[in-house]
Amino acid sequence: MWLQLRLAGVVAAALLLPRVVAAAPPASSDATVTTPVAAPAPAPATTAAGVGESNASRLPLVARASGATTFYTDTDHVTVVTPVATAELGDRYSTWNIRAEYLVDVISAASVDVVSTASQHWNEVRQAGSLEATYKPHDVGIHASGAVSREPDYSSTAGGLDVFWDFAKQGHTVFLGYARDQDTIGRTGTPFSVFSRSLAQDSITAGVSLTLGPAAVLSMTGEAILERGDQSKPYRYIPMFSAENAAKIVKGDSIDDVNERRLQVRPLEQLPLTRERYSLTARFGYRFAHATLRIDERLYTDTWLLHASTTEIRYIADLSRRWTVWPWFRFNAQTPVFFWNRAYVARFGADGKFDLPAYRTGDRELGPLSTFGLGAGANFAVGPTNKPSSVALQLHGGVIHTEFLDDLYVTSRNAELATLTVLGVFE
Amino acid sequence: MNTRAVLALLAGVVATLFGCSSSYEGATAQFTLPPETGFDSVTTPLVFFCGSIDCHGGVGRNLRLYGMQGRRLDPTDVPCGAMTKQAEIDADYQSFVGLEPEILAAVVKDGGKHPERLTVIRKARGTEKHTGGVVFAAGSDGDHCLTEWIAGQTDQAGADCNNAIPQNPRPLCVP
Repeated sequence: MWLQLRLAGVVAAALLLPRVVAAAPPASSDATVTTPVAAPAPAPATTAAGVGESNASRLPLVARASGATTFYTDTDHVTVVTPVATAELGDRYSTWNIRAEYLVDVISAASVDVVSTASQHWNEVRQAGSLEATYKPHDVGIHASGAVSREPDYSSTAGGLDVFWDFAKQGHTVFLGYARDQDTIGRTGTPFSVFSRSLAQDSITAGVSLTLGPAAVLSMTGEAILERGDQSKPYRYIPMFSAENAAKIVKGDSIDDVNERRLQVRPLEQLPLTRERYSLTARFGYRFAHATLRIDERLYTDTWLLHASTTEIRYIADLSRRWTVWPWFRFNAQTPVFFWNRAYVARFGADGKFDLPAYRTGDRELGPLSTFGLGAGANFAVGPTNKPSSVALQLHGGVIHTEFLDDLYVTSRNAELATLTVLGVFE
Repeated sequence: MNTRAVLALLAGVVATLFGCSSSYEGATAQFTLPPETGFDSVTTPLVFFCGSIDCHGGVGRNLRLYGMQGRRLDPTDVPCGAMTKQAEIDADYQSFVGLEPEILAAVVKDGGKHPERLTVIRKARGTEKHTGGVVFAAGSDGDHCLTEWIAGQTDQAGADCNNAIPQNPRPLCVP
């Protein structure tokens, strides 16, 4: 997840800050868009362009601070509340910029996956912090970032470095980046020294942003991620069936049906130990007289043969100096990983010989699904008349419907997401 | 590039993305796990301490246990009724060895060394969070019962499994 957020940050740093068309909020272009974690709050309409309305004779420093809280709830009985605090300092010419963020995820879950193993409802808290710095004295800039995340059963430490170069009189930009993410997967209530697994991710990002005209920008970003380690969920046990019963298991079969028909054996999830992930994201932005249109398309594939397409359209309309609104639409579709199966088959032989699927999962984010999202956001600039964007309130929300096309227990999920942000700019 | 060519290219991309996946049927792994020999001795303390209806006697549990002291496999049997049947021992065995087959196979290959690699051992010992608390402390008869059986020392396991349950007075429903 952090890699995707980092990519958004890199793109913002390399592409969006210097441009007038940058008024569009960033997208989180995750292949598994249904992940119920904090979506990045939409960037304020107050970018470097917005700051330009201030008096240039003052101190050349610009500071921003924001506080946001995201509420997520879905019909699978998962609730996430995520307060986020962000502070940012830079100069008004975008030569340098430092940004820090701290967030807390408070998760409460009694999802069907929990209930199906007769486990209890659980609550968990995740804390995460990140620090980013950008320096771009001339045409070439550098962006460094680091992040840590801690929760009772998961620890993550990451760092990345990106270089970007403006060329053609700063009309276009290319960028190249590398990031490393080292995770430790454990079990809640058990020290990592007793049980843990390592997961390493290396990510390379490259892209180009082209200014197509006075009001249009097109960016293309490619990303390759290599994951090494056992990322199988240590709580996820997979029901097994005889060949005869597997054929009778239908999409959305209930917990009771599954428990009645499954074999006694219910092994832990086992995923392949390496995964190579590739994505190509295109973003087109067009600035009208009083609005910005942004279209994102992301194509994704990986060595687990999960292929996905994510499309997002957002129209940011400036209703007045104080009001900006943005309806958005999102569609995501994905194929299952190559080892996906609704009902896995196991066989016991004589003398303890036991045949199991080498890879097995119950993670429905790895199965075939499609997601529709629809929502809107609004930014209300409440600052003084000469600098209305210096203080802003934002509300961003939407509904997300996911169709699970070949899963046990559930066939769909509805989710609601809302983020309330308070933002201040100080010069 | 004309419109038709663009559409053909787009269709090709979509077909490539969504057309080449199917349900996964192959690539099974075969594991050499401890044979069932002697597991009847293990079943008794396992079901006695862990197999109550509100615990691992629940049908939804990953480790699902049946036996005289808990849930019965045959709906005509009742707890504390007929002795644990072979079908129940078979079911308990399959559930027990099937939890972490990759790790269990590795422990077996190592002659039973470091059984704490197994979640079921850690939970029983209480070194890992377990709603049922410490069931078989490390070094106890119950712990030896499990670890010796995994190591293939079924005779020793049998004796320790028997000793894992208090002898005097012997609890109800324990043969």
